[in-house]
Amino acid sequence: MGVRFEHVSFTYPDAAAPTLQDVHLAVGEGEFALVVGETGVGKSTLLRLINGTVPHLTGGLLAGDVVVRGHSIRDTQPNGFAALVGVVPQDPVTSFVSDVVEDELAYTMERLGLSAATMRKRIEETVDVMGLESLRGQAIRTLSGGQLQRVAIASVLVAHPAILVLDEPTSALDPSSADDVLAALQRLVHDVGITVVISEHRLERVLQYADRVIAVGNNGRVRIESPRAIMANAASAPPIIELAQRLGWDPVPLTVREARASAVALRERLLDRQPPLRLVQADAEPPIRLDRATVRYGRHTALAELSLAVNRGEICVLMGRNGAGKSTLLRALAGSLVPQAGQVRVSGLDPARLSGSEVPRHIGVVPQQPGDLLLGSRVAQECREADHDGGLAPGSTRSLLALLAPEIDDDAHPRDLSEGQRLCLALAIVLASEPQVLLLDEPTRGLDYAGKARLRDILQRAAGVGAAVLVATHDVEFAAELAHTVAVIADGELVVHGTAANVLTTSPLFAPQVSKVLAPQHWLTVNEVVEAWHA
Amino acid sequence: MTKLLLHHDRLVRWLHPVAWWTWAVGAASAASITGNPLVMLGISTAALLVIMKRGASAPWAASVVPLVQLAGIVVFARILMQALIGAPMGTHILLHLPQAPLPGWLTGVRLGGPLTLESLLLGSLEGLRFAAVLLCIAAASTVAAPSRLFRSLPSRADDVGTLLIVAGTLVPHLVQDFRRVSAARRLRGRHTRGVRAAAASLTPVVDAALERSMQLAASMFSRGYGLDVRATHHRPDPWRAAETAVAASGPVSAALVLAGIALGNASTLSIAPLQWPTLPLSSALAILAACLPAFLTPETPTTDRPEPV
Repeated sequence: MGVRFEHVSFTYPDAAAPTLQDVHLAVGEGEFALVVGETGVGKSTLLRLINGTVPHLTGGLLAGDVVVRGHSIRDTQPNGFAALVGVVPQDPVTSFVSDVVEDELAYTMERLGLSAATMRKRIEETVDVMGLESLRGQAIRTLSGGQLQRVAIASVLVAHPAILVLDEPTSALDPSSADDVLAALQRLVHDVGITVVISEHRLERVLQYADRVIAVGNNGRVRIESPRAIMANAASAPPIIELAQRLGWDPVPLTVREARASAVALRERLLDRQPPLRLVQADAEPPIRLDRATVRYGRHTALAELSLAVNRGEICVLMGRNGAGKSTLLRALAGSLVPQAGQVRVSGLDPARLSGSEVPRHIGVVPQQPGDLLLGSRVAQECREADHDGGLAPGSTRSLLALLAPEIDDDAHPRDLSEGQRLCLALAIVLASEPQVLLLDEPTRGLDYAGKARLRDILQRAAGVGAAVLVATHDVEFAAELAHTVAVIADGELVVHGTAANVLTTSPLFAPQVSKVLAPQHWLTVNEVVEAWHA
Repeated sequence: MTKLLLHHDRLVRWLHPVAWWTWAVGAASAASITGNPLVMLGISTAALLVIMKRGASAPWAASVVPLVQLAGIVVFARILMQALIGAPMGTHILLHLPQAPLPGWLTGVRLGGPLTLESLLLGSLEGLRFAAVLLCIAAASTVAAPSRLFRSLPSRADDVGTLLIVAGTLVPHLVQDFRRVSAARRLRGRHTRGVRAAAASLTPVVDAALERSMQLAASMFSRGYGLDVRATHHRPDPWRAAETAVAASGPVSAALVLAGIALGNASTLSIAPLQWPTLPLSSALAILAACLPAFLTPETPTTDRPEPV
């Protein structure tokens, strides 16, 4: 048996209601279990209970018990689980204790007091399993996001744990790095027989690997079932599932391959129909314009003579590998950094020269961590200040927030909001002064499908009244729903900038599920397909 | 001799950190004991040679220019101090500086006044001594990071090594956070300059640092930190002929300097009468001993790819 939850309820200190209620389930040896649920429902809490970091490090009230191979979290501290449960945190960078990859791999084994010969052997095995051969002697600070994640997994794997616990391991990764990480996990489950418990919002990436799905509900109640059973009537699900639900396919397909088999009739019927065009009018003076902009960090070129324009009313999605230069491009447009060469213009102005209240009036920026924008200690205060900063009528920001996230309490501290709620508050502040340029950096990180749909509506409304919107994201499904145009950059150079249909459907890496199912036709979203089917 | 020592040691490998630090302490002692500026220069050269030839992976190993500049600044600062506030000495007056009147009870202290060749030389001598010690420590840190030194020691000292590495990543993180938060303040239309702006940015930065430490603590705890077993070492650095040679060379260098002084044939910089020092055999051998590790050791592996991605 892998791990057993025995009627577990857990309440954080000072919390009014329990986060988890009467969780009773077991994950078998060698199973791949996927934890799903809306933002902020307690998926992380469930994961951290497995080795007892909750409640041993957080405090709180625990009822019931969690047992791993006969060891209960009630009488074993987290370090006692080091050889049984490998925990990979959401942001691996914060967990590293060494400067070189191989030393990091040795850390857990050194703590466990294993012999030098054993350590040597296990490191060799792990390096092979995780494909780290070329990285072993390398300094950790030189690794890319996907490599860091694989090192983090390897560094707990060396202890030969029975269970591997991962909290959204691909949320910061581009599609190909995410595939690398998930393929490595798949190999562990199949070849080593390890149990994997993983939480993930982007189900389209993980669902195909899962044996069982643990669904955490709003009330802290938890179900565990087969992926097909859970997905058959899930309210929010990845595109192929939604497509199957709306077209009445039975059984629900879990992989693109299964969906293609169910979609033979659909493809035939859509053959003589065209996906709707997403048109934008070209501007003489596009609000977002980069002209041969070059940004260098020391000897590394982050942007290489990059030119790009985004028109009024256009939503452009910026894609590319981790480290391709997306964030640098947004920072240059926000005026947070000045390119060494070339020109950057926002509504015809040099963004770096804007100061004071001019900045929020012209440029709306939602940074990767939206919490950075929040400076107050109350939601209401935050909104009042935004009104004041932008010279707006009192109450403007608050009423906008009520539209985006009606459930948010005036007296709440911004830090206590869920990730999705914080994003809504930041958006309300940014949108209240109606800037003509909107820049968003990875806004869907940690958002569930409902949250993403709401964000899409908000951005489309802003573009509808003339804003130029530039969104950097790894989320291909979000891009497919949202984009008029897609710009792909690599090594700081613009690879392509074209209509969403052209760019997304022709790339094997960035193609959304719908277009994979209907290839070679150029469909992007479930809505487009369902409407064409009924037409 | 090189061939003889390295006959069984052709690997590109890290030398045991204790060997390097023993060498550094020995060489630095030689530079501190001696009164001969030529020996100090020789020891400084030895340290620079070690950095250039064995510090392959350190970012500053590629160019020793900044290090030499730093040493130069140290020497210059010492000269300046001697010239301005040192006790008056010597008869070779180079120029008269304006002298500040000081209360009578401050005997032996002056500010400004005549600048003599003797005080200038004495200042450079002390500056050079300090620069040589500094370069020895820099060389040891380059070829054997302090964290590696602590990791090579038994049990509890090991945690000090981890602490040093974690602390080493803390500062860059703090700088990054501070920049991010300041940029966000600007986006809200707030001021980003001045004391108040900096203070306002500090709270979220400290919050982030705390959050990170909590995550690190949880992660270390989950990975077996604090278990009641005797921690072991992966690939402990071996101690071979090269280590013995390196560890011996530093103390030997210091011993040679001491022997020279004891035998009365150590040449020192004399200022009364003014006399340029020579380089007697014992001093020359002391310099040679300090230089040997740059050549007698296996090459150091590199931890960086040529280009970061």
